[in-house]
Amino acid sequence: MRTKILIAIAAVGLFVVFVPGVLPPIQRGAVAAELRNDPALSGLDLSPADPEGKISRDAALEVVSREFGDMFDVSQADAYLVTVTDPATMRGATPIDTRALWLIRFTNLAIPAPAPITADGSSALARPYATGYVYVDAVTGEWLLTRLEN
Amino acid sequence: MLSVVGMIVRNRVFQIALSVVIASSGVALLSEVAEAHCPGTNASGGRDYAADRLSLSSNANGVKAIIAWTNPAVCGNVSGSPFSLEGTTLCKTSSCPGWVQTGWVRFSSWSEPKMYCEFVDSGGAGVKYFFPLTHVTHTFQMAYDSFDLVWDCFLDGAGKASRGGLGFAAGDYLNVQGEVNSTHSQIGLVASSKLLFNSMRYRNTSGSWVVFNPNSAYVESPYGYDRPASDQFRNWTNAH
Repeated sequence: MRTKILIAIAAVGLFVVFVPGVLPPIQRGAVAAELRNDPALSGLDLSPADPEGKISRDAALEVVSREFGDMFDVSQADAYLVTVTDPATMRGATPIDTRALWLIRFTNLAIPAPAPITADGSSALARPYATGYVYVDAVTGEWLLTRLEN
Repeated sequence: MLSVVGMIVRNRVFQIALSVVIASSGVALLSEVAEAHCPGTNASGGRDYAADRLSLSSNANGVKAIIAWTNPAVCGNVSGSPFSLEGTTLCKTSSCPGWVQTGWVRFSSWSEPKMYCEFVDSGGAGVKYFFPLTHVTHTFQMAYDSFDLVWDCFLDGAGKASRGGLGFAAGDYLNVQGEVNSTHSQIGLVASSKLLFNSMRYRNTSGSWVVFNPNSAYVESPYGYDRPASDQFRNWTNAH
């Protein structure tokens, strides 16, 4: 009886491991380590993407240049073709939900942060933004949003 | 002599050449006028404002305003990413140790403004989102969701981005502001036109949206402001 139970458990294990579709696709582990280790992206669900009709990396960077000019140096971009679910947008009208994107990252930035004028007439403390993430739809090339972190 | 001059003027080639010279002079003159609006441009980090403020006796957990659109001239082509913005802010306290702000902004390297949502925690760490924006008046709103414990940013009533963990769920200081970080960049419209903030409201802790009637303007030269109504504010750039 005990042997039969062990055999049954092993059989189920082998089924789960080798039959495609039973396990969810490997997600974060298959995405570039640079993204996986970026603390600013820790809340995002990321997985590799290869959508039919995808635009090229260069085309995605052209979108960035068109929208932002020289705010971002596209020659220094890290660009990743990924499927993204971004919790920060999930409560909104146009959530980024399992959407294939070119996620383009820029580091070592020094973009000034606008600062509220305070009651005493001074500017509030506003740290410059050091990292930028641009979301470009991987198929349509639509610029969706950009996020800055300091 | 006069007949010679007349012949020259009647000459087709000469007329074309003369037109080119005159047109070039005009372009050069226009360029000087445009440049003259940005003398000594330097985005050094110094800020100029055309703003209005309100300190509350009790907390608010939301702020919103209908803000007109324009594409301001931003003095640029220097390091430091010059910008011009129009937005509304809710700060934790009057010294703004943490804040949420939304509106539109144009950086000098952009062709036109974008919507932004900015969330800055009590320690000064911030995240900022940019979104596409159409060329019309829009409603910009920030509000705290006390069920999910996040600040939500809205454009025309549609959620755009959310952020939690800022260290505050309400604040007692509000503003509406035009802001630039390079002297002579445009705030609002160019006088005598005025850029309108309309239907300004804040949400009190009872959940009601009430009139946000600022009473403490902070406006630097060469900018101007007025208050056409209790829930309105306008700003502009004077000739200089």
